[in-house]
Amino acid sequence: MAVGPDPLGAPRIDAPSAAAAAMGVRPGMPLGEALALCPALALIPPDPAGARRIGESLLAGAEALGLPVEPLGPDRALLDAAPALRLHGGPDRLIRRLQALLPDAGLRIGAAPARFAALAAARSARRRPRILAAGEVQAALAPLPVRLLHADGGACPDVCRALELVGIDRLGGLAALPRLAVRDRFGAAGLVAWRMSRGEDGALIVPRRVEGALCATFAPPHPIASDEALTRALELLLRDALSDPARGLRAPRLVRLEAGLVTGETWLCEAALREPTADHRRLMLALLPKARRLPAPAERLSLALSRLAPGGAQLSLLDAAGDERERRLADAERQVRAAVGPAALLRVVGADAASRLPERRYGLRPR
Amino acid sequence: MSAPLRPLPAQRPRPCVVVADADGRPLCVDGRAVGALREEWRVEEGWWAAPVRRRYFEVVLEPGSVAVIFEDRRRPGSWWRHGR
Repeated sequence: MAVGPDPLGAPRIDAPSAAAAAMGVRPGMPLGEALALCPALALIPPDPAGARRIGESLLAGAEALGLPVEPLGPDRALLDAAPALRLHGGPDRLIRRLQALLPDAGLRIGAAPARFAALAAARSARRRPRILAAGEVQAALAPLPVRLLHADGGACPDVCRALELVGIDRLGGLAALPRLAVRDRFGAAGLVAWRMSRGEDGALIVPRRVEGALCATFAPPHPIASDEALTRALELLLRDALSDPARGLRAPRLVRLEAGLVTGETWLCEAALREPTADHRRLMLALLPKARRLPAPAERLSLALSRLAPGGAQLSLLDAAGDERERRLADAERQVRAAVGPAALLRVVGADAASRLPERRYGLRPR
Repeated sequence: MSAPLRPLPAQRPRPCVVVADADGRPLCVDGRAVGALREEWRVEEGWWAAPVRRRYFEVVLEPGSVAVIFEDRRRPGSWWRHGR
Protein backbone atom coordinates (compact mmCIF):
# COMPACT_ATOMS: atom_id res chain seq x y z
CA MET A 1 0.00 0.00 0.00
CA ALA A 2 0.99 3.63 -0.43
CA VAL A 3 -0.45 7.09 0.08
CA GLY A 4 -2.27 8.21 -3.06
CA PRO A 5 -1.68 11.49 -4.92
CA ASP A 6 -2.91 14.82 -3.66
CA PRO A 7 -6.06 15.62 -5.69
CA LEU A 8 -4.68 19.09 -6.53
CA GLY A 9 -1.06 18.12 -6.92
CA ALA A 10 1.09 16.01 -9.21
CA PRO A 11 -0.07 12.37 -9.66
CA ARG A 12 2.67 10.87 -7.51
CA ILE A 13 2.45 8.37 -4.66
CA ASP A 14 4.13 8.71 -1.30
CA ALA A 15 5.21 6.63 1.72
CA PRO A 16 5.06 3.12 0.23
CA SER A 17 4.81 0.23 2.69
CA ALA A 18 7.68 -2.21 3.07
CA ALA A 19 5.95 -4.73 0.79
CA ALA A 20 5.43 -2.11 -1.91
CA ALA A 21 9.00 -0.89 -1.51
CA ALA A 22 10.23 -4.45 -1.98
CA MET A 23 8.56 -4.43 -5.40
CA GLY A 24 10.38 -1.26 -6.40
CA VAL A 25 7.83 1.38 -5.44
CA ARG A 26 9.57 4.54 -4.23
CA PRO A 27 8.25 7.73 -2.60
CA GLY A 28 7.48 10.42 -5.19
CA MET A 29 7.13 7.88 -8.01
CA PRO A 30 4.50 8.67 -10.70
CA LEU A 31 1.26 6.80 -10.04
CA GLY A 32 1.32 4.97 -13.39
CA GLU A 33 4.85 3.71 -12.85
CA ALA A 34 4.02 2.54 -9.31
CA LEU A 35 0.94 0.63 -10.54
CA ALA A 36 2.98 -0.93 -13.34
CA LEU A 37 5.52 -2.22 -10.82
CA CYS A 38 2.92 -3.31 -8.28
CA PRO A 39 -0.53 -3.85 -9.89
CA ALA A 40 -2.12 -4.76 -6.53
CA LEU A 41 -0.96 -1.49 -4.94
CA ALA A 42 -3.67 -0.21 -2.57
CA LEU A 43 -3.84 3.57 -2.40
CA ILE A 44 -4.80 5.36 0.80
CA PRO A 45 -6.26 8.87 0.48
CA PRO A 46 -3.80 11.48 1.77
CA ASP A 47 -4.56 12.89 5.20
CA PRO A 48 -2.08 15.77 5.60
CA ALA A 49 -3.81 17.24 8.64
CA GLY A 50 -3.86 13.85 10.39
CA ALA A 51 -0.22 13.19 9.50
CA ARG A 52 0.74 16.57 10.82
CA ARG A 53 -1.14 15.96 14.05
CA ILE A 54 0.55 12.59 14.57
CA GLY A 55 3.98 14.02 13.75
CA GLU A 56 3.44 16.84 16.19
CA SER A 57 2.33 14.46 18.95
CA LEU A 58 5.45 12.37 18.34
CA LEU A 59 7.76 15.38 18.58
CA ALA A 60 5.97 16.63 21.68
CA GLY A 61 6.30 13.13 23.19
CA ALA A 62 10.04 13.13 22.49
CA GLU A 63 10.36 16.54 24.10
CA ALA A 64 8.45 15.24 27.12
CA LEU A 65 11.11 12.53 27.40
CA GLY A 66 13.71 15.29 27.72
CA LEU A 67 15.11 15.16 24.17
CA PRO A 68 15.75 18.36 22.19
CA VAL A 69 14.08 18.00 18.78
CA GLU A 70 15.07 19.44 15.38
CA PRO A 71 12.33 18.75 12.80
CA LEU A 72 13.69 18.16 9.27
CA GLY A 73 10.38 17.92 7.45
CA PRO A 74 7.02 16.27 7.84
CA ASP A 75 8.46 12.80 8.37
CA ARG A 76 11.98 13.20 9.77
CA ALA A 77 13.50 14.72 12.87
CA LEU A 78 16.81 14.71 14.70
CA LEU A 79 16.81 14.10 18.45
CA ASP A 80 19.71 14.75 20.76
CA ALA A 81 19.76 11.73 23.03
CA ALA A 82 22.90 12.62 24.98
CA PRO A 83 21.28 14.73 27.73
CA ALA A 84 18.65 12.10 28.56
CA LEU A 85 20.55 8.80 28.18
CA ARG A 86 21.34 8.36 31.86
CA LEU A 87 17.89 9.54 32.85
CA HIS A 88 16.31 6.72 30.85
CA GLY A 89 18.88 4.05 31.70
CA GLY A 90 20.70 3.71 28.36
CA PRO A 91 19.98 3.82 24.63
CA ASP A 92 17.89 0.63 24.45
CA ARG A 93 15.37 1.75 27.04
CA LEU A 94 15.19 5.22 25.54
CA ILE A 95 14.46 3.75 22.10
CA ARG A 96 11.74 1.51 23.57
CA ARG A 97 10.10 4.56 25.12
CA LEU A 98 10.28 6.41 21.80
CA GLN A 99 8.70 3.47 20.00
CA ALA A 100 5.96 3.34 22.62
CA LEU A 101 4.91 6.86 21.62
CA LEU A 102 3.58 5.51 18.32
CA PRO A 103 3.55 1.71 18.64
CA ASP A 104 2.00 0.88 15.26
CA ALA A 105 3.55 3.59 13.11
CA GLY A 106 6.62 1.66 12.05
CA LEU A 107 9.04 4.29 13.22
CA ARG A 108 12.52 4.02 11.75
CA ILE A 109 15.05 4.91 14.39
CA GLY A 110 18.76 5.30 13.83
CA ALA A 111 21.41 6.49 16.24
CA ALA A 112 24.96 7.64 15.59
CA PRO A 113 27.49 10.12 16.99
CA ALA A 114 26.96 12.52 14.05
CA ARG A 115 23.95 14.06 12.32
CA PHE A 116 24.31 12.66 8.82
CA ALA A 117 25.31 9.24 10.09
CA ALA A 118 22.21 9.13 12.31
CA LEU A 119 19.98 9.95 9.34
CA ALA A 120 21.69 7.31 7.22
CA ALA A 121 21.25 4.77 10.04
CA ALA A 122 17.54 5.59 10.29
CA ARG A 123 17.17 5.27 6.51
CA SER A 124 18.58 1.74 6.59
CA ALA A 125 16.77 0.71 9.79
CA ARG A 126 13.68 -1.46 9.45
CA ARG A 127 11.66 -2.73 12.40
CA ARG A 128 14.68 -2.84 14.62
CA PRO A 129 16.51 0.41 15.27
CA ARG A 130 20.04 0.72 13.95
CA ILE A 131 22.66 2.04 16.33
CA LEU A 132 26.11 2.95 15.02
CA ALA A 133 28.99 3.23 17.47
CA ALA A 134 31.76 5.75 16.77
CA GLY A 135 34.04 3.08 15.30
CA GLU A 136 31.37 1.71 12.95
CA VAL A 137 30.27 4.94 11.30
CA GLN A 138 32.76 5.12 8.43
CA ALA A 139 32.27 1.49 7.47
CA ALA A 140 28.47 1.89 7.56
CA LEU A 141 28.54 5.04 5.43
CA ALA A 142 31.12 3.86 2.88
CA PRO A 143 28.77 1.90 0.54
CA LEU A 144 26.05 4.57 0.48
CA PRO A 145 25.62 6.72 -2.66
CA VAL A 146 27.08 10.22 -2.69
CA ARG A 147 23.73 11.80 -3.62
CA LEU A 148 22.49 11.02 -0.09
CA LEU A 149 24.73 13.84 1.08
CA HIS A 150 22.32 16.24 -0.60
CA ALA A 151 19.08 14.32 -0.03
CA ASP A 152 19.64 13.67 3.69
CA GLY A 153 22.43 15.98 4.76
CA GLY A 154 21.59 19.08 2.73
CA ALA A 155 25.06 19.20 1.16
CA CYS A 156 25.59 21.29 -1.98
CA PRO A 157 24.05 19.42 -4.96
CA ASP A 158 26.75 20.76 -7.30
CA VAL A 159 29.43 19.07 -5.21
CA CYS A 160 27.53 15.75 -5.30
CA ARG A 161 27.09 15.98 -9.09
CA ALA A 162 30.74 16.87 -9.61
CA LEU A 163 31.85 13.94 -7.46
CA GLU A 164 29.69 11.55 -9.48
CA LEU A 165 31.08 13.00 -12.72
CA VAL A 166 34.62 12.18 -11.66
CA GLY A 167 33.59 8.66 -10.71
CA ILE A 168 33.25 9.05 -6.95
CA ASP A 169 29.71 7.80 -6.42
CA ARG A 170 30.08 6.19 -2.97
CA LEU A 171 30.75 7.90 0.34
CA GLY A 172 33.72 5.63 0.97
CA GLY A 173 35.48 7.13 -2.06
CA LEU A 174 34.92 10.66 -0.85
CA ALA A 175 35.99 9.85 2.73
CA ALA A 176 39.27 8.41 1.45
CA LEU A 177 40.27 11.65 -0.32
CA PRO A 178 42.76 13.93 1.44
CA ARG A 179 41.04 16.81 3.21
CA LEU A 180 43.09 19.52 1.54
CA ALA A 181 42.50 18.06 -1.91
CA VAL A 182 38.72 18.25 -1.34
CA ARG A 183 39.04 21.76 0.05
CA ASP A 184 41.12 22.82 -2.93
CA ARG A 185 38.77 21.34 -5.56
CA PHE A 186 35.31 21.96 -4.03
CA GLY A 187 35.82 24.74 -1.50
CA ALA A 188 33.99 25.01 1.80
CA ALA A 189 30.92 23.14 0.46
CA GLY A 190 33.15 20.20 -0.46
CA LEU A 191 34.64 20.16 3.00
CA VAL A 192 31.15 19.97 4.54
CA ALA A 193 30.34 16.97 2.33
CA TRP A 194 33.69 15.35 3.15
CA ARG A 195 33.06 15.67 6.89
CA MET A 196 29.61 14.12 6.49
CA SER A 197 31.02 11.20 4.56
CA ARG A 198 33.41 10.49 7.45
CA GLY A 199 30.82 10.93 10.18
CA GLU A 200 32.57 14.04 11.42
CA ASP A 201 29.82 16.60 10.90
CA GLY A 202 29.13 16.88 14.61
CA ALA A 203 26.18 16.02 16.79
CA LEU A 204 24.89 19.51 17.45
CA ILE A 205 21.23 19.98 16.62
CA VAL A 206 19.16 23.14 16.56
CA PRO A 207 16.18 22.43 18.83
CA ARG A 208 12.89 23.83 17.66
CA ARG A 209 11.30 26.64 19.57
CA VAL A 210 8.02 25.49 20.98
CA GLU A 211 5.57 28.31 20.56
CA GLY A 212 1.87 28.54 21.03
CA ALA A 213 -0.67 29.11 18.30
CA LEU A 214 -4.04 30.79 18.41
CA CYS A 215 -6.60 28.25 17.25
CA ALA A 216 -10.25 28.38 16.31
CA THR A 217 -12.52 25.64 14.99
CA PHE A 218 -15.82 25.92 13.19
CA ALA A 219 -18.24 23.12 12.31
CA PRO A 220 -21.03 24.60 10.18
CA PRO A 221 -24.54 23.11 10.17
CA HIS A 222 -24.13 22.34 6.46
CA PRO A 223 -20.91 21.54 4.59
CA ILE A 224 -19.17 24.61 3.20
CA ALA A 225 -19.48 24.41 -0.56
CA SER A 226 -19.89 27.99 -1.78
CA ASP A 227 -17.45 30.85 -1.95
CA GLU A 228 -19.69 33.03 0.18
CA ALA A 229 -19.99 30.40 2.92
CA LEU A 230 -16.22 29.92 2.87
CA THR A 231 -15.61 33.66 3.21
CA ARG A 232 -18.08 33.90 6.10
CA ALA A 233 -16.53 30.91 7.85
CA LEU A 234 -13.00 32.31 7.50
CA GLU A 235 -14.13 35.67 8.85
CA LEU A 236 -15.62 33.95 11.89
CA LEU A 237 -12.51 31.88 12.46
CA LEU A 238 -10.19 34.86 12.13
CA ARG A 239 -12.31 36.92 14.50
CA ASP A 240 -12.30 34.11 17.07
CA ALA A 241 -8.58 33.45 16.83
CA LEU A 242 -7.56 37.12 16.88
CA SER A 243 -9.76 37.88 19.88
CA ASP A 244 -7.92 35.32 22.01
CA PRO A 245 -6.58 37.28 25.01
CA ALA A 246 -3.39 35.20 24.86
CA ARG A 247 -2.44 37.12 21.71
CA GLY A 248 -1.86 40.38 23.53
CA LEU A 249 -0.23 42.86 21.14
CA ARG A 250 1.37 40.16 19.04
CA ALA A 251 0.44 39.39 15.44
CA PRO A 252 0.80 36.16 13.44
CA ARG A 253 3.18 35.52 10.56
CA LEU A 254 1.78 32.13 9.60
CA VAL A 255 -1.84 31.14 9.04
CA ARG A 256 -2.75 27.48 8.68
CA LEU A 257 -6.17 26.25 7.67
CA GLU A 258 -7.20 22.62 8.13
CA ALA A 259 -10.38 21.25 6.65
CA GLY A 260 -12.24 18.00 7.26
CA LEU A 261 -13.89 17.13 3.95
CA VAL A 262 -17.20 15.36 3.34
CA THR A 263 -15.21 12.63 1.57
CA GLY A 264 -13.56 11.73 4.89
CA GLU A 265 -10.18 13.13 3.85
CA THR A 266 -8.45 16.12 5.34
CA TRP A 267 -6.88 19.07 3.57
CA LEU A 268 -4.64 21.84 4.75
CA CYS A 269 -3.09 24.99 3.41
CA GLU A 270 -0.72 27.56 4.84
CA ALA A 271 -0.24 31.24 4.11
CA ALA A 272 3.02 32.82 5.28
CA LEU A 273 2.96 36.57 5.70
CA ARG A 274 5.88 38.81 4.86
CA GLU A 275 5.42 40.71 8.09
CA PRO A 276 3.32 40.02 11.17
CA THR A 277 -0.12 41.50 10.98
CA ALA A 278 -3.34 41.29 12.92
CA ASP A 279 -5.19 43.21 10.25
CA HIS A 280 -8.33 41.23 9.43
CA ARG A 281 -8.43 42.41 5.81
CA ARG A 282 -4.81 41.52 5.06
CA LEU A 283 -5.13 38.12 6.68
CA MET A 284 -8.19 37.42 4.53
CA LEU A 285 -6.32 38.55 1.42
CA ALA A 286 -3.53 36.08 2.18
CA LEU A 287 -5.73 33.17 3.16
CA LEU A 288 -8.79 33.30 0.93
CA PRO A 289 -7.13 32.57 -2.45
CA LYS A 290 -5.54 29.44 -0.99
CA ALA A 291 -8.67 28.36 0.86
CA ARG A 292 -10.64 28.56 -2.40
CA ARG A 293 -8.67 25.53 -3.61
CA LEU A 294 -10.63 23.29 -1.22
CA PRO A 295 -11.03 20.06 -3.22
CA ALA A 296 -14.44 19.14 -1.72
CA PRO A 297 -17.08 20.63 0.60
CA ALA A 298 -15.77 20.99 4.14
CA GLU A 299 -17.56 19.72 7.25
CA ARG A 300 -15.11 21.29 9.66
CA LEU A 301 -12.57 24.10 9.46
CA SER A 302 -9.74 24.80 11.89
CA LEU A 303 -7.58 27.87 11.81
CA ALA A 304 -4.25 28.27 13.58
CA LEU A 305 -2.33 31.55 13.76
CA SER A 306 1.28 30.98 14.70
CA ARG A 307 4.77 32.57 14.68
CA LEU A 308 3.39 35.37 16.76
CA ALA A 309 5.57 38.46 16.79
CA PRO A 310 5.14 41.92 18.22
CA GLY A 311 4.44 44.91 16.06
CA GLY A 312 1.41 43.97 14.03
CA ALA A 313 -0.74 46.80 15.32
CA GLN A 314 1.93 49.44 14.64
CA LEU A 315 2.57 48.16 11.13
CA SER A 316 -1.07 48.47 10.28
CA LEU A 317 -1.11 52.05 11.48
CA LEU A 318 1.97 52.94 9.41
CA ASP A 319 0.39 51.46 6.29
CA ALA A 320 -2.67 53.63 6.73
CA ALA A 321 -0.46 56.74 7.03
CA GLY A 322 1.44 55.68 3.89
CA ASP A 323 -1.81 55.36 1.96
CA GLU A 324 -2.76 58.86 2.99
CA ARG A 325 0.63 60.22 1.88
CA GLU A 326 0.29 58.50 -1.51
CA ARG A 327 -3.15 60.01 -1.99
CA ARG A 328 -1.90 63.51 -1.17
CA LEU A 329 1.08 63.14 -3.51
CA ALA A 330 -1.15 62.05 -6.39
CA ASP A 331 -3.42 65.02 -5.69
CA ALA A 332 -0.47 67.45 -5.66
CA GLU A 333 0.83 65.95 -8.91
CA ARG A 334 -2.50 66.55 -10.63
CA GLN A 335 -2.54 70.15 -9.44
CA VAL A 336 1.03 70.85 -10.64
CA ARG A 337 0.29 69.41 -14.07
CA ALA A 338 -2.88 71.47 -14.37
CA ALA A 339 -1.08 74.68 -13.38
CA VAL A 340 2.28 74.37 -15.19
CA GLY A 341 1.77 71.81 -17.93
CA PRO A 342 2.09 68.07 -18.46
CA ALA A 343 5.92 68.20 -18.84
CA ALA A 344 6.44 69.97 -15.52
CA LEU A 345 7.05 66.80 -13.53
CA LEU A 346 10.12 64.72 -14.21
CA ARG A 347 11.21 61.37 -12.80
CA VAL A 348 14.81 60.64 -11.75
CA VAL A 349 16.02 57.47 -13.49
CA GLY A 350 19.33 55.66 -13.33
CA ALA A 351 21.30 56.04 -16.56
CA ASP A 352 24.84 54.77 -16.01
CA ALA A 353 25.30 54.31 -12.28
CA ALA A 354 28.90 53.14 -12.70
CA SER A 355 29.97 56.15 -14.76
CA ARG A 356 32.90 58.14 -13.42
CA LEU A 357 31.21 61.34 -14.59
CA PRO A 358 28.53 62.32 -12.05
CA GLU A 359 26.27 64.01 -14.62
CA ARG A 360 25.93 60.72 -16.52
CA ARG A 361 24.82 58.57 -13.55
CA TYR A 362 21.22 59.76 -13.33
CA GLY A 363 18.86 61.61 -15.61
CA LEU A 364 15.44 63.15 -15.69
CA ARG A 365 12.61 61.82 -17.79
CA PRO A 366 9.01 63.10 -18.05
CA ARG A 367 6.64 61.10 -15.82
CA MET B 1 11.08 55.61 -28.62
CA SER B 2 11.40 57.11 -25.15
CA ALA B 3 12.34 60.73 -24.59
CA PRO B 4 16.08 61.49 -24.13
CA LEU B 5 17.34 61.82 -20.59
CA ARG B 6 18.10 65.25 -19.25
CA PRO B 7 20.95 65.51 -16.76
CA LEU B 8 20.04 66.01 -13.13
CA PRO B 9 20.41 69.74 -12.28
CA ALA B 10 22.09 68.93 -8.98
CA GLN B 11 24.82 67.00 -10.80
CA ARG B 12 25.16 69.08 -13.95
CA PRO B 13 28.58 70.82 -13.93
CA ARG B 14 28.48 74.59 -13.69
CA PRO B 15 31.37 76.92 -14.48
CA CYS B 16 33.15 78.32 -11.44
CA VAL B 17 36.04 80.64 -10.70
CA VAL B 18 39.08 78.99 -9.19
CA VAL B 19 42.39 80.38 -8.14
CA ALA B 20 44.99 77.61 -8.35
CA ASP B 21 48.63 77.30 -7.34
CA ALA B 22 51.50 76.51 -9.67
CA ASP B 23 50.70 72.76 -9.54
CA GLY B 24 47.10 73.39 -10.53
CA ARG B 25 45.68 72.70 -7.06
CA PRO B 26 42.78 74.97 -6.08
CA LEU B 27 43.33 77.62 -3.42
CA CYS B 28 40.04 79.46 -3.71
CA VAL B 29 36.68 78.46 -5.27
CA ASP B 30 34.09 81.10 -6.14
CA GLY B 31 35.68 83.46 -3.66
CA ARG B 32 35.80 80.95 -0.80
CA ALA B 33 39.13 79.72 0.50
CA VAL B 34 39.96 76.02 0.25
CA GLY B 35 40.44 74.73 3.81
CA ALA B 36 41.47 71.21 2.90
CA LEU B 37 42.01 69.06 -0.18
CA ARG B 38 40.23 65.78 0.52
CA GLU B 39 40.89 63.89 -2.68
CA GLU B 40 42.24 64.26 -6.18
CA TRP B 41 41.64 62.00 -9.20
CA ARG B 42 41.67 62.09 -12.98
CA VAL B 43 39.11 60.94 -15.52
CA GLU B 44 40.20 60.40 -19.08
CA GLU B 45 37.81 58.51 -21.33
CA GLY B 46 35.62 58.70 -24.42
CA TRP B 47 38.64 59.22 -26.76
CA TRP B 48 36.77 57.25 -29.41
CA ALA B 49 33.77 59.61 -29.56
CA ALA B 50 33.62 62.56 -27.17
CA PRO B 51 36.93 62.85 -25.33
CA VAL B 52 36.79 63.70 -21.63
CA ARG B 53 39.93 64.76 -19.76
CA ARG B 54 39.29 66.05 -16.28
CA ARG B 55 41.30 66.58 -13.13
CA TYR B 56 38.93 66.31 -10.19
CA PHE B 57 39.30 67.70 -6.67
CA GLU B 58 37.10 67.18 -3.64
CA VAL B 59 37.69 70.17 -1.43
CA VAL B 60 36.47 71.54 1.87
CA LEU B 61 35.60 75.21 1.54
CA GLU B 62 35.57 77.70 4.36
CA PRO B 63 33.61 77.65 6.60
CA GLY B 64 32.96 73.93 6.12
CA SER B 65 31.06 72.85 2.97
CA VAL B 66 32.34 70.17 0.62
CA ALA B 67 32.54 70.72 -3.14
CA VAL B 68 33.55 68.60 -6.10
CA ILE B 69 35.28 70.62 -8.81
CA PHE B 70 37.30 69.76 -11.89
CA GLU B 71 39.54 71.38 -14.42
CA ASP B 72 38.81 70.55 -18.05
CA ARG B 73 42.26 69.45 -19.28
CA ARG B 74 41.29 70.02 -22.88
CA ARG B 75 40.95 73.73 -22.03
CA PRO B 76 43.42 74.43 -19.22
CA GLY B 77 42.17 77.06 -16.80
CA SER B 78 38.53 76.12 -17.40
CA TRP B 79 37.03 75.07 -14.05
CA TRP B 80 33.68 73.43 -13.34
CA ARG B 81 31.79 72.49 -10.25
CA HIS B 82 29.24 69.69 -9.57
CA GLY B 83 26.18 70.53 -7.53
CA ARG B 84 25.73 73.74 -5.61
